[in-house]
Amino acid sequence: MAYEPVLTKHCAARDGYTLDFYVKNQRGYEGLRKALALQPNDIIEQVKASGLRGRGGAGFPTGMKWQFVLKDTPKPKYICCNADESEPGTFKDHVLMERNPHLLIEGCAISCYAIGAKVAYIYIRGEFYHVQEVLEAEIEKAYKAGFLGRNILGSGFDCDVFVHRGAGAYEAGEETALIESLEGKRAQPRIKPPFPAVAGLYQCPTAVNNVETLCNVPLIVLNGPEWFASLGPEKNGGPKLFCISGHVKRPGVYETSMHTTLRELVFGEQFAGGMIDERPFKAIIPGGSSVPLLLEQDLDTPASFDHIQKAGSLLGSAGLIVMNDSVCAVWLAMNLLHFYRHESCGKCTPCREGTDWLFKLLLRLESGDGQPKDLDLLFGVSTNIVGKTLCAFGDAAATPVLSTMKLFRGEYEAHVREGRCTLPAPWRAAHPVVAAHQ
Amino acid sequence: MARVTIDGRPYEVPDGGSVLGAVRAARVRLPTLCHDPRLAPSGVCRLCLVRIAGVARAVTACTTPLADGMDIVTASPELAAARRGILRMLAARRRSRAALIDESHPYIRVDMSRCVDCYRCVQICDEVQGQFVWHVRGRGLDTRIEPDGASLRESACVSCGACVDTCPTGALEDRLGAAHGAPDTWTRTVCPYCGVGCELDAGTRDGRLVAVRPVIDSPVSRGHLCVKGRYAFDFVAAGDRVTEPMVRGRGAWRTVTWDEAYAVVAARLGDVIRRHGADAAAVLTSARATNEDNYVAQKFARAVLGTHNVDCCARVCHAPSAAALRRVVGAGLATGSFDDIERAATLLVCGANPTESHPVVGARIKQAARRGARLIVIDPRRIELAAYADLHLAVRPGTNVALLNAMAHVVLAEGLGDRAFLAARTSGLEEFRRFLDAWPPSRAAEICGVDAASIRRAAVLYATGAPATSVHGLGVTEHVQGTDGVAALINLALLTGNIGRPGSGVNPLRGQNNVQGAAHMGCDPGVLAGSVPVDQGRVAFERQWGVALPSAHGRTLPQMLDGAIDGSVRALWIMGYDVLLSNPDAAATAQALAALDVVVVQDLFLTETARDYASVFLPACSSFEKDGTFMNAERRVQRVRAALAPRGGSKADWQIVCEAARAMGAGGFDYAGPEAIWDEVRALCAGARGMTYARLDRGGLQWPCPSLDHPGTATLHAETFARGPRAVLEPVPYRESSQTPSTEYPFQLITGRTLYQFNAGTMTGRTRNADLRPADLLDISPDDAARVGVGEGDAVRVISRHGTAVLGAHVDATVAPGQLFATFHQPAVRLNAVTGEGRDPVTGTPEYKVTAVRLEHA
Amino acid sequence: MSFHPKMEYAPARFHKSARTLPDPGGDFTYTAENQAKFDANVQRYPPDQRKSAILYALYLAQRQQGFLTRAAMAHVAGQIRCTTADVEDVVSYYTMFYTKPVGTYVLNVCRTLSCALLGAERVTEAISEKLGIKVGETDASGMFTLIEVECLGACDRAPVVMVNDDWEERLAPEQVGEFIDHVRAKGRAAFTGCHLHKEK
Repeated sequence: MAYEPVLTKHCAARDGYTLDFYVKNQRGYEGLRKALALQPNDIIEQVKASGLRGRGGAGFPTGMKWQFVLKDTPKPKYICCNADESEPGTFKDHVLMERNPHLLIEGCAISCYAIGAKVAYIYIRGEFYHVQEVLEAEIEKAYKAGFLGRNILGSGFDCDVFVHRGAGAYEAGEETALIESLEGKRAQPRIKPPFPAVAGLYQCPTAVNNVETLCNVPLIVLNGPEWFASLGPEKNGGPKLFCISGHVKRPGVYETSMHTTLRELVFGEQFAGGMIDERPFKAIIPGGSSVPLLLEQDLDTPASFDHIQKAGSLLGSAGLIVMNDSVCAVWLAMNLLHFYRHESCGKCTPCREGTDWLFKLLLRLESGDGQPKDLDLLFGVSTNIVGKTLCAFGDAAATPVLSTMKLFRGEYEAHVREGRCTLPAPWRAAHPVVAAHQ
Repeated sequence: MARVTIDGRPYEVPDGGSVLGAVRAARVRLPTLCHDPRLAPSGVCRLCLVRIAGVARAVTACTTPLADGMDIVTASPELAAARRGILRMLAARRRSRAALIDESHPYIRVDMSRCVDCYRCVQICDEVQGQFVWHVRGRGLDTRIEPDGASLRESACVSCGACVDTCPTGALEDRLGAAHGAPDTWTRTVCPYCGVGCELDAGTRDGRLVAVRPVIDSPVSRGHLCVKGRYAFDFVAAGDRVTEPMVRGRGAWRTVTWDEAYAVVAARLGDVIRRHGADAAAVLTSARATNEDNYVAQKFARAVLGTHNVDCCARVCHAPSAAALRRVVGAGLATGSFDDIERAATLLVCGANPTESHPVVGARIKQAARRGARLIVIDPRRIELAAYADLHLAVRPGTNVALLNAMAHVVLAEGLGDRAFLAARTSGLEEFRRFLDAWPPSRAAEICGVDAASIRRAAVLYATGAPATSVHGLGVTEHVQGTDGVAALINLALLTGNIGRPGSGVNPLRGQNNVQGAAHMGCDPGVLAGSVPVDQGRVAFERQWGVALPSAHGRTLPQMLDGAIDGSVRALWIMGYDVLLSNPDAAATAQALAALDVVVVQDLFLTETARDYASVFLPACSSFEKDGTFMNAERRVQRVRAALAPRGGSKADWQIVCEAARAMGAGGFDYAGPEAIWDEVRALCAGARGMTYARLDRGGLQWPCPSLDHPGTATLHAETFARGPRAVLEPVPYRESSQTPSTEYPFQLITGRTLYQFNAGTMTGRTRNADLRPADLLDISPDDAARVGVGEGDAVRVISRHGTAVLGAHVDATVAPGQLFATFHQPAVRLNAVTGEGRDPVTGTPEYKVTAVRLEHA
Repeated sequence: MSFHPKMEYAPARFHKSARTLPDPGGDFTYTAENQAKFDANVQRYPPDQRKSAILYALYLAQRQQGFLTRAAMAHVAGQIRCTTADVEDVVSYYTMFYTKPVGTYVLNVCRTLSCALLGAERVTEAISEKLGIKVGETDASGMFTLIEVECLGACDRAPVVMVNDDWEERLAPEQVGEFIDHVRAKGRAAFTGCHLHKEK
């Protein structure tokens, strides 16, 4: 059965992002109109019934998250849209904001209405400036058309949507760190409890939702929860955006249902179209850099939250990074640990110190100076990070090491044995630059 | 209580806290680096990771709320490996990072190569002191902790040492005492400085005081101290400490034995009394001496010398508070407690600068305001707390009464009073209302220089934000209307029902650690120990002391000096008080002292008074060298304990007085020690009866504490007033100060204290605080500075009708145009040459807070 | 000057702090245009939460001056109503603020996995050789600064280089030299590598 895109159907259209186009071709803002005729709690019930799970990485049911938002309080409530898309291998929210901004704006407005908020902040990463310009211009148009602002569509409901630009911090994608950053502080995570649903932005009840998650909300309201659930496997309903990058012929964002297997996504003609130069497939990271690798044998797994988890990894942010046989596992881990070391916020000890240890050990191995005992140390430091840090960052940082060591132990041992990298790929620099603070 | 299982064993622990609290209560060892009970848990070091049955991830015990029935595992190979891993990484990084080393501060050494990024210093500076000096910069491995200025010395640091105290690694270290090694003995005692009365642990080694640390479970200071208590203790061992008795003969000092000294004292005092009568002798006691010292001193005056001429330095500070409180509600004591700061919804700070003068209370007020309490500041200067205040009324000096009357007017006019309280517990409302009719804010606005709308808003904030508490300082009392000013504050509290309930009250912030105690022990010509008026207490005291009390009224401190000039007072015994430097109108004070036949000074140092005028000098020991009790501003009696042996031949004040009394042939002065003296106080004063040393050794108790099972009194006047069921609302007419600016003297000078120095500088001047604040300065507003052509640091001559002083100018925008502010700590400046003879007619308290002056380039 | 003649402490002579301070810079105030922008932006947040506008305020200052001096941070602190030290905390955390002068064009080469798989290391290498500078440096003409950054979220357009706020996508190592020459010659008009540009 061919899948009909609903989130990105018109992304290729030249004026697909405009308000007029949205209203004409996507039943734009009808969801909002419909929602405003309902009780807020009905919307939460619909979202719960749809089974919508957060598209940011954790896959937590959105309806439940909203239900936790404290109701009985005189404090204002907030929606924070997490548009800090920073997980390596992930670039789907970028497409939505750039090519279908009104879907997000409408999603923000409906979500605000559902939880009793009057303001949504879209926290967009600083590097997406060109996207932000598009988004802000379209928000302006939505205000003019009466879809935002005071007394929306004559309902008496007021809602503001503001874009807030970040300034370069992966950790700002963690929900409490995002809130800190939005408050004008350093993007460092808070301890939980209290959860944002109770004390989030400005210590007020807050729901933090990913861009793609919020974009699904108007569709659920418009087409009903059953329609949404029917699009994918059980508990993995709805449309899903997959970001495919790496050694594939046609990297890009593809929308399909979560029935689709990883093999189809990587090799399917309507998707990434197979490996560049037909070189052999080595491994895939299925959910952004923070999840374990999967191998050829796992490719027939449907790309759903639950199936991928069963296969030993996570769907995460659905950032599929495909690698051919030229990729050295140690180099791969080192590349990602450079990322994590650079992005660690520094608040808790295992992450701040541990990511540096891991990177230095990997650098030593990769440059041929590794000792056999380094492998044990690498493993030991990683296990001391996993599950022991203040936020989920630590788990994410240790995963590339633990996963590559598990799947490609032989390559690690070869580095030690031969005193050099055993797979120096042609796309790597002859003398790679090793940046800052070592 | 919660039932929990820890490492397989059942425990009952107090509920409501964290898992770490439970583990600690069960006395199970669990290491932490970032935990400090004074701070919000941060969970950053990750050492206290535990496993809890049913929870997927390991969690930090410090951040996890305790629940009944929890099954907690603190020790396992996995957790041990994690902890070892963390410590190994922290240990290793010392080699790998360049770190900030900052030796700019005289008390605090910074070596961040030892830092483990637990952020306790950052947190304590924010959450306890509220100074925000330490900042976290960079991120990840590049995370570094830095002061907010170029160096710690140039930062906003107030040198409270809280960061050093909490630092678990020595990245922040005390410099004092470092050369002498870590203390081997810790003695809990009370700070020798202000009336907050913080408890502290004095650390000694080899008979030397090498460190002071705050006491975590102190109800007053809650694990905090200020720069004076924490670091300014080196005066104890100052080189010019006098440790042998001295007698002056023909202008030169001669060291004598104690017996010789007593003989001289006995002979010369006896001579004066024989020739001029007992009332020609007078005794001044010290608000920094213990209750026991003060009690025996007033007993000495009354029972040995035979005069009520006994007073203490409360006269020059909070006598008006005591007088007004005694008159209106019946007890000259703070009505509430410091804990009311946290309980109050509204805080009124009037004529006080707590963050400098009472820093630990200042920090508590600051934190309360940060947590959302309403704060109203009434002060001519834009003091630090004004930045945290909802409203700052920059009242013109000397016009408090007009302002407070107008606030009371608003409360009544807008029906904001507490009707039930007014009906049940006050009288005179109608007359008071008629009086206040004449005090609309518009009238006060003209007098006070504060706009009427702000006065109204202050009244509304105070009256509608119950419970509201007020704290006031010398900015209320040291005026010609000092007693009236306090009465006006009490009126405001009575109108709004803000007396006698938690979170409310009228609370004077006492200037010195035992001002409350000294006056309360009877060092006041009009009252006996327990603040009993002489006539009421006469029978009981005569029975206890076995002598007849004199019948003539005694003299207050200013009256004693007046008497010296007119020849009616011939002998003055001064205990721990630099009269010359502290009293106003120094020229007149000097004239009085010079006219005396005998001046006996009992002190640590040869003070300015002693140097110039004493005939006998009796070396006393500091509060670190003796036992006794102090009574702080919230009436809490706390134990003072000797951490050191008396230096050289010095003796405790009580001992000196008793021995002198015995030398004069008096009985009733052979106490075995301070406890025996205190037991005599307990026998005479119902309010002290329950406070045995045995109980006080377990923690301070708030007066009154009438029986051994009484917990002490946090809030006075809860059911009824000490003076009876009703307090009288008494009209307080406004009187203008004579020190209003004129063309000849266009500025109004305010004097006061700074953070780093204390009063006459006798103690702080002999510590490295003198590095942090080297000189008295004259603060002048930028406008005035530009107008009169005075630049930063210029030497300026301040001239009043009474005298002149020369000091450096400091251009400071917190001072209003037309006003000047200066401290009076420095002997060389002798600022009190400038202040005048104005006095509060009720108590005789000098008008320090306003003097008309002019400026000249020096 | 000490209080008492017998002060036992000599005048303090302490070392200076080793802390590195931001460039003090000359006087800084927003242009009227930037002030208006800030005043409009700060309205997005509750009145008692002006600090939320700090990143925006810093961007304005950086765009006005090229990098952030202490004077600029102090100005931002005044706008936000916090201390300059608070501003410094924030500046030091985020990677997109510069506290040292940078070139007219800051070449931010993405170095994370997806870009690296398609030659990002060699892009950096090529820029480095072309301009004769190392990562973190500015070339002699003051026109280019080379910085390596982590994932830009453009992995399908790898390798990607962010030049100031614009993206150059699929910039192969072999094209680097030509691109730099074009920027030198034509300035911003040479930025043609963004998909948005191509679609126009």
